[in-house]
Amino acid sequence: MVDRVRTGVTQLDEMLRGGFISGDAVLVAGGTGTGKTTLGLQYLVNGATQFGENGIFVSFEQMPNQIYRDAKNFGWDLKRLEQENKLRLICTSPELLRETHGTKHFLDEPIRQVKPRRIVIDSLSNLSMYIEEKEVRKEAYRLLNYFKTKQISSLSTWEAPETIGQSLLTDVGPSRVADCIILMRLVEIDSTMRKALVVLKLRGSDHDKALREYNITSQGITVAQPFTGFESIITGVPRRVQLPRSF
Amino acid sequence: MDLLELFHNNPGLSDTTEGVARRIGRTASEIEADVKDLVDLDLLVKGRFGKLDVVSFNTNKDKRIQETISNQIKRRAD
Repeated sequence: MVDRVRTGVTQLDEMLRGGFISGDAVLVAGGTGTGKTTLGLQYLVNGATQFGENGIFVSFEQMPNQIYRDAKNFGWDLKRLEQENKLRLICTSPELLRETHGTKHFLDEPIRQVKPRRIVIDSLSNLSMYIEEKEVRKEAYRLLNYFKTKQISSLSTWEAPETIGQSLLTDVGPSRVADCIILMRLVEIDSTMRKALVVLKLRGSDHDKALREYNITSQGITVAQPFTGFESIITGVPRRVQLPRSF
Repeated sequence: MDLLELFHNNPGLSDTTEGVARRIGRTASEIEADVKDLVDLDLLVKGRFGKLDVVSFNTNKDKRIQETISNQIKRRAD
């Protein structure tokens, strides 16, 4: 029986057959506005408030005051969690995470102080701002393995262009080094933008293969039922399934 | 002032001089003197991590300054 790390998003945990596998490196890929950062924050807040697991949120682009404000809109008081030493918000540049000081890693000290079981990197794709594309996978591998050696379950977001399809995603960035990949994307149905989520990969475990609709509500992300009556949802432009005519 | 405001509002910021500068739309050389002034005042801490300079906020000092100001205002009101 493998140890699971629950996200606290009930339907997503069901899709994952109980949650992420403890110590795994999870990649949440999707375009802008799909809710990757929200899912990352929700994962940490639920960990700290429901499962007694402290967390660290590393942001490369968004400023802390922006993150505090956005989280508050979902009812998450990050400052209080920080005061209780259940959460740490770190805003820095990817180059510092690549640097070592003797044998020390930039995150050694906050990890020692907070003792996290969970960490969110938002976003791993920012690595490509500082290093060549071919080096991204290597650096991501190094970083994700650093968390694994510390027995921390990591969730990294990855900015994937909306035009990307499933086949392409599995060949870009750090997708090969990730143990679990969740794809979030916008889909156009009847001239309305809706959101679809799928678990593309969960190494060493069965998982739900269905594409499910999800919503960003005032309480965070909620996952709904699988899309029915459509095909090619992953392309972002689904087609209605033609039902066979009865004779 | 931009620099102080940036760190005061974002105490979790710990970045290279260049990274900090980028966040207020400036370059590292443009903020160098301001960083030095705030380091001299003990409001910012500048250290070395590997080959990089790291600038972070001294939250304790910030808290102490705020308390002093608030106490002075209170005393004057009394």
